[in-house]
Amino acid sequence: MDLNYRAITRTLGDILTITGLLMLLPFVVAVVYHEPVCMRVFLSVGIFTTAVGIAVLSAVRESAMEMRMRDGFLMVAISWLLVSAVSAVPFVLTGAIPHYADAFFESCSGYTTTGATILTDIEVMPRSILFWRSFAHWIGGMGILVFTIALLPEMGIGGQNIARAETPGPVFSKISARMSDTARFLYLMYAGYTVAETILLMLGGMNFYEAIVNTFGTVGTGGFSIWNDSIAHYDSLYVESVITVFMLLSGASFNLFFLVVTTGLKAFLQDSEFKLYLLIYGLSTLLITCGMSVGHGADFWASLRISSFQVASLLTTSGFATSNYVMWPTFCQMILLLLFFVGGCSGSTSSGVKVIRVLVLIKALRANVRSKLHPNALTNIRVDNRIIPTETISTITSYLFLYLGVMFLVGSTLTILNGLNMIDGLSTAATCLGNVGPAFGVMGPAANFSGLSVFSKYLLSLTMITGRLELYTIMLLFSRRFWNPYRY
Amino acid sequence: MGFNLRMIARVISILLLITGASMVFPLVTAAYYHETSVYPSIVTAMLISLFLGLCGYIMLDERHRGISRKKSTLKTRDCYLLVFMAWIICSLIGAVPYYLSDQTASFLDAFFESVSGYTTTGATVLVDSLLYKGLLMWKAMTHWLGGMGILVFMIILLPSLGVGGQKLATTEAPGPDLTKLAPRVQDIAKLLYFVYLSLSVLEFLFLVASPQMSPFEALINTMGSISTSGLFLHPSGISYYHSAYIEMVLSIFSLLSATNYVLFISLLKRDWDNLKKNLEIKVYATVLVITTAVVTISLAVSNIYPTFTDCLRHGFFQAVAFITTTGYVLDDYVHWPPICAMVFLFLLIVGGCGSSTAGGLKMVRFIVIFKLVARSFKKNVHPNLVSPIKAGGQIISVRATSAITTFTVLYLFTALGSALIISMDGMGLEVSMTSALSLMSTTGIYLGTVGAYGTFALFSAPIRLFMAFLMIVGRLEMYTVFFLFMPSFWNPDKAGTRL
Repeated sequence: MDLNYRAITRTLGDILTITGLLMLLPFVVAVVYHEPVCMRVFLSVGIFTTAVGIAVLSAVRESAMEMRMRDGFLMVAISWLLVSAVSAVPFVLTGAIPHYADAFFESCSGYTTTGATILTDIEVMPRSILFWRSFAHWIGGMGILVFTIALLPEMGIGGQNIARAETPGPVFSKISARMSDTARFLYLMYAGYTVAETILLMLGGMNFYEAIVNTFGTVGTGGFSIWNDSIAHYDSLYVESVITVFMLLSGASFNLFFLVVTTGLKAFLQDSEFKLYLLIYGLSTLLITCGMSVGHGADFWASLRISSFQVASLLTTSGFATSNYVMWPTFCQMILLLLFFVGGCSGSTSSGVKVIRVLVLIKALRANVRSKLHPNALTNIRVDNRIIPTETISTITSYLFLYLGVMFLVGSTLTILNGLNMIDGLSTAATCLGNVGPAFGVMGPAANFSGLSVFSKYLLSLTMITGRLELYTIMLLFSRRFWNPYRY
Repeated sequence: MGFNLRMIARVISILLLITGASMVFPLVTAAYYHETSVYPSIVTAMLISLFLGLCGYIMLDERHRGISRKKSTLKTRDCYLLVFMAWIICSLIGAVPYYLSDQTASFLDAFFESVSGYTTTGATVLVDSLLYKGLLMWKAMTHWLGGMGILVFMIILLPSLGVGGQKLATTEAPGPDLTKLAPRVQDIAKLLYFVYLSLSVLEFLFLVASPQMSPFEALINTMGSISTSGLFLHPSGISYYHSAYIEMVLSIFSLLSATNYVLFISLLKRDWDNLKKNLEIKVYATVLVITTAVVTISLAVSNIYPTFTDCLRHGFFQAVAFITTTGYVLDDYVHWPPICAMVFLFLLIVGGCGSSTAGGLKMVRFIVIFKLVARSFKKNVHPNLVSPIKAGGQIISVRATSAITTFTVLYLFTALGSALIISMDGMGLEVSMTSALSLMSTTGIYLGTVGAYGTFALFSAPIRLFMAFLMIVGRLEMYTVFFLFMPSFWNPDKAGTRL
């Protein structure tokens, strides 16, 4: 059973072509803001990449073979690595980020919507460069290949398999008959959010450039900003509220919004994942606010303002910051740390473990405690009146253990290589795996990743992609069975 | 359907009698060392315990009242309630000597010490170690009883009292089936007691052979290590002795005690097959070797100790202290490279083998989870694959597997939730998280900036009460305590079907 290399190569050709064409957008920004070096770099890299893509497409004939699960995994994995690698080139060539390891990290952080940065001073960067890295959030948020499918429905590839390998969450529900229709619909909504938020931010006094870049960071749940002090720079309740609302919307399932559009608002109330998501948000905000105001005598409304933004930012794995939370009381920090492991809803642009998995786990735990007490009672686990099969629960628990295992191994490596302490190392690994952005301790929101060793940067880049693609897509490439499925 | 309260009270009376009787040892110690201030407090506790126990025992004796045989059996629910109440009541009585002798500032602290004793945690809220030898003896005694008690409760007592068969003890223990070891549970109990006692005697002899140890100190250290508690005689921990020999003896015996006791029985019965097939012991040894190697190498690379032998000595001792959940401290590991803390965190979570005196998640569960994750890779390549989880050539049933995974998830969730509560004291993330894990796994030392010698006296009183509770939760493997919060536990007839 050979892999369908021909189809995979053709997809890579598509991806290269599109990436090249997308570089024309930062080119336009560079033209508008008179950045001659960036202008030349984006234009030439863009044209070159497109040319290579077209050359690949014309050299490799279409394959009659069907795409299988394994092909989907390999295709997605290579695509993400390739796009990140290519997109890092303009950073290096414009001299904005001299080292390729840093540029690759920044690029991966962009596409995976992590928002972790190696830049020590963001404000001195050319605007087209800042635009490019935030634009990566926007593309990566929905998925590079979903984007390709939406644009090129005639690729003739097994769209379902790809979407499954790329879309966050344990279940990918098809909401329309054809894969490309689904993808197009998702992008339509995504674009709708983007336009709405941009307009709202401009009403708050931002210019178009600022508004659109911040919007990319929000709807992609990425968290790249154009200021060193992130959103705190604006010091505006209005801006914070708009961003909070759109972060929360982007962290909720897009499929759910499709249902809301088709069946009305009661779809919200019937979705237990969404309800738990809001519950977690409300409870965490409340606890942190109380922790600050009651526990440490801070002003209640000021605490509420800070915590409601910060909780939304970390729960949806965006990673914007309005406050350096590593200075908060331990109790409040602990809540934020726990949020790292929740993440947004399935089928959203956010990453992390996902609310649906937490929901199923909680129900499984209750069922388990019950069945211990009443050994002969039959217990089914239901979510939204659908029975969850045992198989799915076992998949989810394995996922959780693998997630923790990877986090632990990456965290250990970081402590060895960079002398980080336990919490800093673990939370840095967690923040990259969950695509959040800032971590704890010395790697908090006020810090950046530039001080890490080169190997650590590549490791974390890979960790970000691994986390974004829900572990298996990347980790399977390291399993011998993947390459030789007949082995036992 | 109410609880069989009569029977529960009767069993607790017996336990009180045992507790009272075991106070003879600290009493004799206090008398021998002329500790006049401790003497009355132990006598008081002993009298209370014996009096209550005797009253209960006589009043509830079924032979005098003609209670039918049927009514004298305990159902599953009764057992859970019994176990929980037994731990609380024994801990309360056990706290009396500490409190009356003014060793602790409040009864809460005394209760913490007592719970830490019975759960074999070895944590203390005292800034200095216990001053009086009589009380030290009492703490060591509670450790020793607790270490054995867990074997009794987990494997012996519940089934022998007629709980729904062996199910309770074995659903979560894959590997060698306990029922095959001996025809009757009472026989297994005898075998386990025999192993526990022989190990204790052996260790005592080894320790007494060292010139630094008086028989008293050897006895205390034996009871502290064989129960995997890690009791300190001196504020500076085991480093007080400056003896590699003592460290070695303590390490080896705590390692033995954290091994699955079923293996010792196989050994006694010369059942070599069972020994060879056992996967848990192999993984246990492998984990120990790897973690020791990592710690030793990192110590050597960062030049913490002058010679490689010293690094190995410290690395091995501290790794053993964490894997066996004793929680001994040889040197302040705060200044060690951070990778050591990561290794210790891992060991804090995993703990020793199943059916041993150690706490934590246990190796068996770790193995099953590891295999489950490995299988999930296969399943991604072959979505329709059917492949059972095997350990040591035995297939582990789906039911057992799912019991293990949910247990583990529950364990981690409980630890995180507890860490959140502990973090209200503002001691930092590392201290909050590791102290929660440490108490649940009954290790009793934590990581973080406070240092290896940081006691639990640093935490506020309400948090300490919670911590005492957490030790019991961890020791009883959570379920027993969690059931108490379930409405259907108290009223099973009204148990709903919806989850």
